[in-house]
Amino acid sequence: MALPELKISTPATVADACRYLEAGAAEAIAGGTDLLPALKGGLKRPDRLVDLSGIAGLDGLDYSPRGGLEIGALVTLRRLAGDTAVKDHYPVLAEAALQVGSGQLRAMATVAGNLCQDTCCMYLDRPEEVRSSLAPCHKIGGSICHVVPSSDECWAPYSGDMAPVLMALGATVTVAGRGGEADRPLADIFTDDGARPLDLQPGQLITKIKIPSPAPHSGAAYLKLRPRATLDYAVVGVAARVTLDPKDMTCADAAIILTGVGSSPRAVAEAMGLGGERLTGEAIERIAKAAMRLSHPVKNVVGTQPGYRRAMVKVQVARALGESLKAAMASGGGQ
Amino acid sequence: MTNEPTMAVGPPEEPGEEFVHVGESVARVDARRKVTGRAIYMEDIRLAGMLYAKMLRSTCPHGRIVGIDTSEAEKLPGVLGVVTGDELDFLHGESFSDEPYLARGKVRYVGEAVAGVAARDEATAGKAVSLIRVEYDPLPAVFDPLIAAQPDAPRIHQDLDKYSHAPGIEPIAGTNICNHFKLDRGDIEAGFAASDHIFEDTFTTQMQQHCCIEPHGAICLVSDEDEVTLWTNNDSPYRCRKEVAEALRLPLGAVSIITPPTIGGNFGGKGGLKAEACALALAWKIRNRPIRVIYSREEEFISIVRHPSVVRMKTGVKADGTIVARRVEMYLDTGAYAEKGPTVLRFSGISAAGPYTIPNVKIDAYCVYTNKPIAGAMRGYGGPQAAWAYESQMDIIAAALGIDPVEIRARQIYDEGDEHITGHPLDSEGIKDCLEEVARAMNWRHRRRVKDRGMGVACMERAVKTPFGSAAFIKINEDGTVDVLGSTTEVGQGSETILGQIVAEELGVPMEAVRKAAPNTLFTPFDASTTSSRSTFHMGNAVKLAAADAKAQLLELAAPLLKRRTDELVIRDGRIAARGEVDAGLSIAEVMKRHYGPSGTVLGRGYYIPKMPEGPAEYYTRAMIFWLLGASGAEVEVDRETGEVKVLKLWGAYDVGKAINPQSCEGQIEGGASMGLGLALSEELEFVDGQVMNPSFLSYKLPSALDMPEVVSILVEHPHPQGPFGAKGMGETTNVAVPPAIANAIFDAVGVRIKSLPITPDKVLRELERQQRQSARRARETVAS
Repeated sequence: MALPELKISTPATVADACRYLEAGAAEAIAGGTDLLPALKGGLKRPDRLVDLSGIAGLDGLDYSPRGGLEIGALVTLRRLAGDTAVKDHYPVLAEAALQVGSGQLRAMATVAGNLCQDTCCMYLDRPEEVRSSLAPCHKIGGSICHVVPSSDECWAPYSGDMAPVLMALGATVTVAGRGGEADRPLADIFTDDGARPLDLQPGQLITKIKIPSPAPHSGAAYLKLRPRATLDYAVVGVAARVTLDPKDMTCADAAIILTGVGSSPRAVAEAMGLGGERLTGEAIERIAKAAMRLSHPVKNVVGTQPGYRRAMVKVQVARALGESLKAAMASGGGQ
Repeated sequence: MTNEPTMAVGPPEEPGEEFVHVGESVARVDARRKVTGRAIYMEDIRLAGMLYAKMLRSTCPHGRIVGIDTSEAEKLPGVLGVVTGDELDFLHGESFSDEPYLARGKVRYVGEAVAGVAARDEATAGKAVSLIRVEYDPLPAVFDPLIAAQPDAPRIHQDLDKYSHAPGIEPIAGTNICNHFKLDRGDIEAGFAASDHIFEDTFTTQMQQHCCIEPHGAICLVSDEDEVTLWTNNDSPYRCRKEVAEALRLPLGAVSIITPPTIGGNFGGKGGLKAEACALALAWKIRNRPIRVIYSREEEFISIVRHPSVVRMKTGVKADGTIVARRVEMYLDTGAYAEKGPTVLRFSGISAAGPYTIPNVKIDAYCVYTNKPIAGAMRGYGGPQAAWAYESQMDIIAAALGIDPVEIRARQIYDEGDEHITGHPLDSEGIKDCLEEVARAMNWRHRRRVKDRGMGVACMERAVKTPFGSAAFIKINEDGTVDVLGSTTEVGQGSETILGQIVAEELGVPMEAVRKAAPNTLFTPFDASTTSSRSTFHMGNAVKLAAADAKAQLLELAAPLLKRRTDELVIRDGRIAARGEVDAGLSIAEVMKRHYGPSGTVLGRGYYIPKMPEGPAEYYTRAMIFWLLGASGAEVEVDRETGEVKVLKLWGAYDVGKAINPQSCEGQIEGGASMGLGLALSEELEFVDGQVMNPSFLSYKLPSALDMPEVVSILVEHPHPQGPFGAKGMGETTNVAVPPAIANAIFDAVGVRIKSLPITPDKVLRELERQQRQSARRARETVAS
């Protein structure tokens, strides 16, 4: 499969990039690992690519105890995973980054690009000649979902690995656009609409991801269930973070975010209500069940059945909480 | 992946048997070429005036073609021609001629080629294809082989009864069954009557694809005089020539097959006519222009697949586990066209009872059309489907009777001199050693129980196609270097290295002096096929005979020069000398120069075809020149909460006769382990309404390097009396028993039995839950009583 003919712009500033993107049928490209297959498969048909690689100042990866971590839009997953400060202060980030794609893909793919990873469904991820024998679905401008024909929306799952982890760590993203830059909680950029999963307007661009300094006595985990030890999207992905109150080791704050089981990363609200509670087996079971209720996998990925994925949400949430708790108890106050 | 040292097991070598090249792990002669990117593949071949072709493929699983409008495509600038099936009144098929070059009248699966476009470049061809309009009148489609085998199922081939086919293939008129294989030995009913226990199970396997790194490709040139030249990465040039000539009703001499020097993977998938048929369809119409077709990965996934299967197995045993009777009913889903299905069925059928001495056996096997991609040859050739059933059930029996899985096998596994169920005696067969060696390497009898971990073993047998010949020429050049002309294709299996070692050994020259020519039917002599694990044995014999012939001529030339009798002379390292006086001798080049001046050459020839007790056969004999035999072991860990199975280690012991190149044999064992692992746990082409849902390496779950466990390779060497230096084939043994070994290990670990492949976490978890419910019920009943 060859790429279609495309114009390429190479802006030197974020403002120029936004102007090009505003013009309509344009797509930003950084690592290209998510975009190029979609272009080859005819899932996206921009007439212009806006190459971000020449923009100065987007490749910063800076940590300070006070300010936390700032990840520039062009920082690759490979660089994130290998960064000493990241490994020291946000080990879960490095671990999650290593679970994305394969070594070659991580060398190209950026963290911000991973946040913007498009939703994907088995009906879509096929050559155009085969796909075109079915009526176009919601995702490609049609009005049917082949997975849930009775539905008037797209059920394609969001499977990004970095978003759930970054959300669990309380990340915000800096979005640049016509009116300059603004910070938004990461969770806010997701629409939960499979057809159009990102709440970014044409001309808007993520330039930076910011994560606060880790709270003392906190631990986090990302568990990715997948058929193979590499390459695959998550069948179920669970990010968890637990922060303990050092006085009595009760849970001061916790977060559980799911990926792969809905059209956006999904925060389990019950996890936020854990404040002041001791994380007993019963509490973990309660949260795991709540997480299961929140997930609505449908038969849109090959190899697994929806019922299995749903059941695995419960198992993986319990495990992720357990691991986070263990990490939190092991971590001192001085992080 | 680390590897323990390869263990070689077998009778002690005869004294005086000292080899220079044979038995050495010589580095692959094509390794440097491949690693440095200099190997020439199909994709690298460019011819003057070459056109690029793309195919329009069916989007309908079963339907009448009402009309094809190619007018818009033909008008597109850069398009040289469009062809449809109506223009080609030809059928092809190795043993069952049922497949048109392009769909004629109706389509039988999604992906069938309906029309082709030749254009000045690929993009133009692709665009033209999208301009072709086809109207289908859908017919009822059938995807399940059990339903398709019913007499009232929608008919996929109305002309079944009219197709020509090879002898011994028995289609059932008026059905979708293109071959029915029967075997009846002893008295099955009496056998069941004499049994203490009867076991009945149904086992199923899924659709697997070969996943060769190099896709199918061909360039075809047809002259005005109907001379066909086909450059193709087909695995078997002479078989390809015959299929093309027969289909086009041309003399063999009108067709030339040229093989590129390197082929990137085969595993049985590069036989038959795939890209060849597409290129030919266009070249037959657009004369005097080479036309190239290279499949995309998506096309590759539906080009050829392994038969999905349903096997019903009923086995009667004595209380001590001795199998008295076995009834097998097997259905192989061959897809829309027969391709090699009928012979895959035959080979699967022959081996469906397993490598055990069983007095009463009845086998009925059916090769069934469905509206799915074509299933054909794939490593093991029906062996994995059969072994999945007989080796899974062996452990079911062992568990029910409380017998150790290794013991129940060892007691009744084929031994030297036993009679195969086909009625022929088995000799030089080391399967018992294979089982024993696997058990020993696994420390089976003293293994320690670890929670949720288990071990399993499985054995396998597979026939080699018999009797088929291989021929070779040896050409000694003026400088003493050696060209080997044979039509075995180097598909990655290492034949170039193995055949080089055999020639170097027999002739007495260094490895570097030997080159193997890429096949070209104009000058490399006949070879039946590069399939069935037959090349080391058959072509190995042919090149050995040719080398011996050349050697005898060289010694004749050297004798007067060295003033010795020929029987006093030897060739070592390219020098001819009296035994023990190598320094005093002459180089091969010098000997030829003294006789012929600057025109020195010697030509050797060799032809090998096994002589079978029943004489030459029209197609296949019942007896086999050798059997592929071996055993696998697996250790797994099961996650009881997620159902995930982690394979911790795999063992493989195979009877190779004599390992010409032990490292190459290990490579076959590791590669087979990976292919078996994929079939066992993850690989499966999924379909919705006949459309493949996962034609990519992301969505089709081929095991990655990170999924591979440690593999322990064990080479058992029972020299074959007719094999070159005792060697026989082994490439198609190594994946066959891996899935049942893994399933048996899972049962050993957590006590659940999975009977359908692949063993997904989902299935394991469901069985674990069922097991839990059952034990809870039993506990309640105990309390209640």
